[in-house]
Formats: sequence, C-alpha cells, structure tokens
Amino acid sequence: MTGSQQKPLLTGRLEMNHEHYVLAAYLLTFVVMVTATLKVWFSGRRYRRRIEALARRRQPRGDR
Amino acid sequence: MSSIPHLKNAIVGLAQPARFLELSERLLPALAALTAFCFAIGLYLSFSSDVDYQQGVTVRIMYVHVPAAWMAMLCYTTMTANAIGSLVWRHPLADVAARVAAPLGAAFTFVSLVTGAIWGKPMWGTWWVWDARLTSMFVLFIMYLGILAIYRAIDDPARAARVTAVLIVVGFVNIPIIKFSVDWWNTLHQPASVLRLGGPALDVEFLRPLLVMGVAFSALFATLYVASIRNEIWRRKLIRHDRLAAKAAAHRET
Repeated sequence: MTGSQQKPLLTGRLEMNHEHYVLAAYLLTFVVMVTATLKVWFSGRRYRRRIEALARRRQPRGDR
Repeated sequence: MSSIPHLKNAIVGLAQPARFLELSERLLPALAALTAFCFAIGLYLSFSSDVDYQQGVTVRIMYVHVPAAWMAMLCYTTMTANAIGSLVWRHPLADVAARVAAPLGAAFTFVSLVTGAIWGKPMWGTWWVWDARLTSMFVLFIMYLGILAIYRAIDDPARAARVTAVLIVVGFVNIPIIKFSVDWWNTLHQPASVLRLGGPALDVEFLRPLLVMGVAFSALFATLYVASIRNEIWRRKLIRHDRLAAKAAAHRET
C-alpha cells in the first residue's frame, strides 16, 4: 500500500506504516523514561523539603 | 601497593548513608548533564544514520529497544549484587540499593517488551510470539513486579529485605537464560549481534548510534539509581522520625 492509498491513522481501521511504528516506539520509550525521571525527581523534592523542615525545627534546640 | 586498602576504605566509606548522601549531591548534576548530552547525540545519530536495506526505517527501533533490554538485565544484575550484600553482610545500604532497582528495572523491561512488540509487528507480522527470548524477558518483568509487590506487602523493612533478597538471588538464574535463549533454542528473535564472542555483527553505521544510545541509557539508569537510593535513605529517615514522634506522643498521653 502506498502512502497516498493509506487510510488515516486515527480514523477507521488502524493502518500503520513503518514511520508510525518507529514514532510509536520512541514515544513510548520517552514517555516511560520521562515519567520515571519525574517520579524520582518529585519524590526527592518532597523528601528533601521534609528533611530540611525537620532540620530547621531541630536547629534552635541545638543552638540553645 | 597501598592502593588496595585505600580503595577498600573508599568503598566502605561510600557504603555509609551519610557519606553516600554527600556524594550523591555532587554526582547527580554531572550524571544528569551526561544523560542529556548522550541522549542528544544518540537521538541525532539514530535519525541521521542510514536505514537498513531490508527493514527500512524500522531498524531505528533497535536504538531504543536493545539498550532498554541491556538496562533491564544490568538492573537485575545490580539488584542481585546488592541482594547478596544485604543477605551476607546485612548492610542497610545494600538493601536500599536492591529495593530501588526494582521499579527502574521494571520500567526498562516494559520498554524493551513493548518496543520489541512494535518492532515485531512490521518485521515478523505479529506483535508477540511465545519464543524463548520473549518469554524469558516477560518472566523478568513478572519477577520485577513480584519483587515490588513483596516489598509493599511486608511492613517490616528488615524482613522484607531478607525475603526479597532470597527471591532476587534465586531469580538471577533467568539472566543467563535471557542472554543465551537465542543460542539454546530455535527462536524467531535474532541471535546476539553486539555482545558476542566474534565481535559485533552489525555494520558501524548501525553500531555507532546503538552504542551511543547504550551509553545514554546507562547514564540515565545511573542518574535515576543514585537519586532513588538517596530518596530511599531520606524516606527511611523520615519513617524512623515519624515512628519516634508517634511513640513519644503516646508516651506523653499515658
């Protein structure tokens, strides 16, 4: 099937050409990797804030 | 001569959570920059290299599929080394390092399985076959999920660490099965073409982007792994603090 005969990707039956497969593979990879990175980064930020808040609460007691 | 005790001291020092936290603060920006740089170069090479005369552009799926599979196996190997450290020396940082590798390994295995299916459809005419390589990789994914489930199911971290460490070490038998499955059995999946005794069978045109993407994935794994270990150390510190605070509050009430 040539490019001009091909049905649109999101209407009717799903017909994918080779470029679509490549795009799907790269998109999936980067979505998963970015999600994993963001999850690690946000949980790190949350824990860091709590640890710093804890350290600030302890600090005045140590200064006395 | 004096380098061995020096190295031993460095490793022992690194295994102290406080020292690790200090080191991770310095290491993470450099690792993140290296990851971004390698991905930029890797993606450029992936999309500027020639296409295969038989596969056409779908050969580009290899540049994400193969490094993800490498990382899935490297992650399990790292997890096993740490599980042994946790079982033999009962080192808390080894347990932390084994625990945080599981979700990362699951993510890489998932990417490897799904990109493999996406590559398989135009090349083999099917998304999935139950051949030895694909099945053993699927077993690896299930094992990662099982390890994660056990960690979540057991409240006591020391007990969870012991149970999962045994499971991780026993499950390591799957790694050589994955690697050699294409040699031991007749599979639809192609045999090894990069990590093999006779040297890579790939043309340098394909090998170059593949290796750069391999370095990029390794850098990403290292970055996420170091950051996850740091997060887990903080999490355990906070849990200890919360428990102590709850105990103190209960003591005040009685």
